[in-house]
Formats: sequence, C-alpha cells, structure tokens
Amino acid sequence: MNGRFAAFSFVDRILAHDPAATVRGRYAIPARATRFPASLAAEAVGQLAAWAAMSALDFRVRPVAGLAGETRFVRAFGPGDTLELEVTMESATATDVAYHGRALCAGEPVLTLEHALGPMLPVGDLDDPDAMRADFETLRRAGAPAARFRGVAAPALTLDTVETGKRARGSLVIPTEAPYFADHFPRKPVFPATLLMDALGMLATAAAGDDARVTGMQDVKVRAFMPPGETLAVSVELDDRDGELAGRVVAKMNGKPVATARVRLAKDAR
Amino acid sequence: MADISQQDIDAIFPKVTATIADALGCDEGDMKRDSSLINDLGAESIDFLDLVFRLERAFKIKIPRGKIVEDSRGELSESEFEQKGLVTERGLAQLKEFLSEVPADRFRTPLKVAEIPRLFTPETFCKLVIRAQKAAAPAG
Repeated sequence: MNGRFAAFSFVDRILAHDPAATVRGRYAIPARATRFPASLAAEAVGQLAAWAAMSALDFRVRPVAGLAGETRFVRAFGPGDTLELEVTMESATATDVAYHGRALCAGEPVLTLEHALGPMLPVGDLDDPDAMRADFETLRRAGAPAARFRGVAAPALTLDTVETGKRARGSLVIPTEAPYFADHFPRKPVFPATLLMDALGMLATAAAGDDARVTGMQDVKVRAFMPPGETLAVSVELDDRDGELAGRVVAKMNGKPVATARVRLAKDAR
Repeated sequence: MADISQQDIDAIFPKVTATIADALGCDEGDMKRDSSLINDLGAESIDFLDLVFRLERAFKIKIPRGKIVEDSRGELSESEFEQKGLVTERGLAQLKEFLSEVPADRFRTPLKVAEIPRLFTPETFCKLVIRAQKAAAPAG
C-alpha cells in the first residue's frame, strides 16, 4: 500500500457512501499520535465528503478546501479516540461540492460543520486517479491499515506584536518538508487549510489571553494553494460584536489574502 | 419567465450589496450599480461561490450552482451559445438581453465563455435572487 493513508488521511473506513443518503465513515486517532488539533476532525469530515463526491463523479474531479460557513468545536477529543464521521451531501457537481457534517465520539458530537463548499479540480492534477479508486475500494472493504499517523508538529508561528484583548500579528512558515505533503497532495504538495486554521486559532487565542480557547470558526474562505516553503503574514483583530468574543483572522501570501475567517473564542469561567 | 422590474431590483439592492460587501470583504461605499465584481471589486471565483451561498442564506432561497451561466443561455443549446469556448453571435445577442444591466460597451467580441463572469454587476445578483424567489413562489 505504498505509504498511502500514513501522512494526512483521516478516514479509515467508509461505511456508507451513497450521496443521496447520510455518508458515514470512521477514523481512529492513533493513541500514540503526538498532536491532533481539533481542526483535523473538520479535515476528516471534509475528506469523507470528498470520497463520496469523487466516487459519485467517477474520480474525474476532487474537491479542495474552499468555504466553511460554520465550524463548531463542541467537545474536546484527542489521540486514542475514535471519530464517527457523518456527512450530508447537498450537491456534488463537476464544479463544486456542498455538504454539512459532523464528527462524534462515543455517540456525542465533538465537531459540527455547516455550509461547507469546495471547488472541484481535475483529480489528475492532484493525485493518480487509479490509485484513488483503489484506495476508495480499500476504505469501503477492509479499511485502511492500522493508522500510522504520528501527529502534526505545532505550527511554526512567530508573533511579532500582541496587544492583548485587541490584536496580534505574526508570521507562519510553511515547512519545505513535512510528512503530510505526501498525502496532500501526492502530485501537488500544498499546506492543508485545516492546519492553517489551527495556526490562526492559536494566533487568536494569543491575542485574547491565555484563558481563551477557540470554540468555532465562521466564514472560512481559502483563496489559493499555499506551497511548501512559503511564509504567510498572519493577523487577527478581536471584537466582541453581539457580546461574543471573536476575531477576524487573515493570512496573506506575497501581500495577497490567501485565507480569511472569523474565530470564535470563549473564556472559561474559573 | 416573468420580467423583472427596476422596482423589484431596488427593493433588494441594499441587502444584496451588503451581502456582496461581506463576501468580498470590500466597502459597500465602493460599489456602484454597474461595478464589475471582478474588474472593479477584485472578486475571484471562490468569491462567487461564497456570494451565492450567502445570498441563499440571506434570502432563504435555493440557487442551483452554475445557475447564472445556465440561465444566460436562455433557449439556446450549448452549441448554439458557444463554439470552442467563444460566445457565438446568437449567444451574444441572448447574453446582452439577459445581462441588460451591463453597459453595452463591455461586451467585447470575441467574448470567451470563461470571461462572462467579468460582466457581472451587483444588479446581476439582484436579478438572480429575484428569479430564485419567483421560481420558488407557488404558481398562480
């Protein structure tokens, strides 16, 4: 199985893939994974949606990250937990896929994703279509080999200025080499948007103060591929519109916005 | 398809421009009725997906993907409308009628099908919303 499923694949089994019904899958987070940020559960839901959409369209096109209207991190989870994945496909065409879904742990939702939409690209630009067909069959039948994912490194985020309670700026270096580039994608290595969201969440909490945590992401929009070795200028502006603590995050590459989102934050009562 | 009056457009114009401003991250004040979303406001293809999505939520309507391009062909078949990626003469006449809000001098010839979205203005999206509302309304 040539190393596939090892680096950045978060569906072990596909239990139901009829796009007209609820698409179901499963991912067991390896107990020895060093770091599994919550945004990777959104990645898992997105990957399950991608499998369903690709099989419905005979592996001619595959979706990539585009928009995620509303992501909520409902409950903490991590290495050793098994995620049950559910996706409802709203549409899957040759140009884009729209869906919503969630991840559950022991029957309880840990993450919900609403209004997700991904533009479709020709599969061949990103991966070998025949290999993907074979992978899909593996996931539908035996399942992927016992997960070999080891976790992801903490993002290389440098903070330049922090005005606590107001804003923060810094830079994020996309590594030139990382295990996840082998899977994402085999023919076109790009920085996964869910890892960018993890980093932007950290930036927002750094601005909000140590006791803040990310509870969700709104209106995530990814405009361009982020290749290995690039440095992104990242910033957050906090506000408490409607009494809710949140921050507008922007990542720029060569001066142009490549991703934007609104990070929702909460401070735990002590 | 019933005609769309200027009154219909004016009624939803402010909400549509506010939605465009949110999707593009631009200022409502920078937007004119005949601004090209791509040329004047910097929209990219992901912004159109975003915008259609937001309009669906703001107006509680359903807009099938690719609806504008599909509708713009009118009664013409794909081969009547375009040949080798270029809009045909008949196609152009149909397009000018469909995008009547777009100043005539912006329809360059030959016009590539891929370039059609460059013509879209805020009013194009008002009309898209109104057509979706009318399609959803019970007949009668």
